[in-house]
Amino acid sequence: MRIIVLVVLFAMVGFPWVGGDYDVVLVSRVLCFAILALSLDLLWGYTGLLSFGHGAFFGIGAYSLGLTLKYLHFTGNAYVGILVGTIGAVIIAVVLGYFLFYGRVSGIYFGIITLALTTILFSIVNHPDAFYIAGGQNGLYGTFLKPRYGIPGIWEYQRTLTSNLANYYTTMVGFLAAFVFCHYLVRSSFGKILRAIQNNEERLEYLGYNVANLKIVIFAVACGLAGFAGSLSVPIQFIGPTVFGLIFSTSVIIWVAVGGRGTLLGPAIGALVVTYVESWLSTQFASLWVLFLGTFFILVIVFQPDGIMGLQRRWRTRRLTTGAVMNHSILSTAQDPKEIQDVVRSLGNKKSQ
Amino acid sequence: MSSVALEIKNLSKRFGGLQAIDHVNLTFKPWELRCLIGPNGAGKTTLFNLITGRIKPNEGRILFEGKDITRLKPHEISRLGIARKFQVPTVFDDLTILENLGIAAGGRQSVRSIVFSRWNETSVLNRVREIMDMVHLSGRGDQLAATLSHGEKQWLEIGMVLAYRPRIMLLDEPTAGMSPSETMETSHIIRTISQNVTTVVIEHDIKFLREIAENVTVLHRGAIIAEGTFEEIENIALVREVYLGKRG
Repeated sequence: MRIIVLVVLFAMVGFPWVGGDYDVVLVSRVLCFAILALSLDLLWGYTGLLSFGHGAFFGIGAYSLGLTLKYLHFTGNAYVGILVGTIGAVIIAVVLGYFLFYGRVSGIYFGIITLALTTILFSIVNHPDAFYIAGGQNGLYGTFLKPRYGIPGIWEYQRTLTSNLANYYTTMVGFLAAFVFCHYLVRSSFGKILRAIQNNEERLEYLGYNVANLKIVIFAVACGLAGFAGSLSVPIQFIGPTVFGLIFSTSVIIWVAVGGRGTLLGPAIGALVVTYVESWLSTQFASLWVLFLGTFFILVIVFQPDGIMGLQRRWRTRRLTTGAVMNHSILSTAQDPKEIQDVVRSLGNKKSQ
Repeated sequence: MSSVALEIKNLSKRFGGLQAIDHVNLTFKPWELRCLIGPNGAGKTTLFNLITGRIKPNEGRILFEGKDITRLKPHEISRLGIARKFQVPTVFDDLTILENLGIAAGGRQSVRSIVFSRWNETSVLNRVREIMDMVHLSGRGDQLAATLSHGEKQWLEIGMVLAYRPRIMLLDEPTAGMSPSETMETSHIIRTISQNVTTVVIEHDIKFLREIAENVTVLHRGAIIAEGTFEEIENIALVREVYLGKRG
């Protein structure tokens, strides 16, 4: 396992020297998307809350950094922008989460309200009155200075659209940090409780857990991470109203589903695969590619609902399960045929109740 | 400790035109083991739902050790020490037996300590091991709850209620779907664990009741029609008619 991790790390660090310019830019973008997909997976895959508007928080992060760079020119403003983006997303998530989770909004209604949030933000940045601030349709393209990272005032480097290496390595570090963070989060006691929320939140409530508060915490964490991803994407990705669009938020769901929800590698792999397929299809078919992508998504949901990671898991557990199911079946405790009949009968009663 | 663990005063609940609970008065003494019986639709589970705050009554009050809990939220009521087992075994399928019990044992922590702590401290683990022995799941801590049989899930959920260290346990049909031998085993488990916890059990199984029941309360159409030991209850004509009689 350790060897695989080292190989992957080595491949990630060495990639820009092997890959062409186009691929380096694309992978940089994928790394930002992967953080976003990870954050949605914390909500959807681990806690069972499907947000249809997760792109909103990515957009909040991107606009926060973009606007900070546009209006506030001081040393270290890039860091302040990222912080504003992340914390801003957290605050909005806490406020929204408070009303949603204490109001017992769940399932599809949670999805609809998050979708509404994206739509609201879309209209705000697109509004004529906000044109001079947010740039309307044109977004923030070309209106801000490039973000400077490194050690403010002492050693800095600039990220521009063409500085591929700087972009790649900054997002890579951001992605690895986010991945390690999520890795420890899902393995902590809090992570177990997230799974418990997905399994049966009522059971948890009757064990004294304040489920609404726990949901607010994970919603805030996931949205903060999405905001962070948005900030990181600033020079590589066009910051415009499209981040608040329906297509973008849907894409995030597709990445997670294709990769495999409830795993950490899945969303990252999903973002990579889908972004590549998308870019390949769009060069082959000028307008039909969206159709193919949609078909691909439907096929995944129908035939491989656990995504790419599910293939690996299925292969690994096939041998184990067939035996285990027989061993632990309800009949294993019954000794004679009459007792088995009793069991079957009482199960029948159970169903009819 | 006060001399009354749980007191239900003049409690009523209507669902539309149906009087599910009809002016019920009930008192549970500390460390008592009480069985709640009655035909389907008598209001047994509704009573549990009212006590645990899942639904709110139209009338009446519920007092836990003298404190009015009628209007509290479910998790607030649970935090006071009232734990319940659901009718359909309800465990966390994607977690292991150990994790299920660990979550139950850590139930009264604040959100902050959940986020920043780890629960597998030795004190919790020792207690969880003890409980696994009690409910016949010892040595299987790393098994996923989803792979357990129906009866074993019932036991796991009883174990979870126990790990929570409740002052009152409400067990809704703990032997539903069990084989006769599992039912007997369950009655032993409940006898053991109810020694120092107030325990209320909803049951249908007559054999189980004979085995276990000290005090029985019979509910019919939302009202209490009889109270007493199992032998006393068995001999009341009305009870035979509405409940026992049907089963012969």
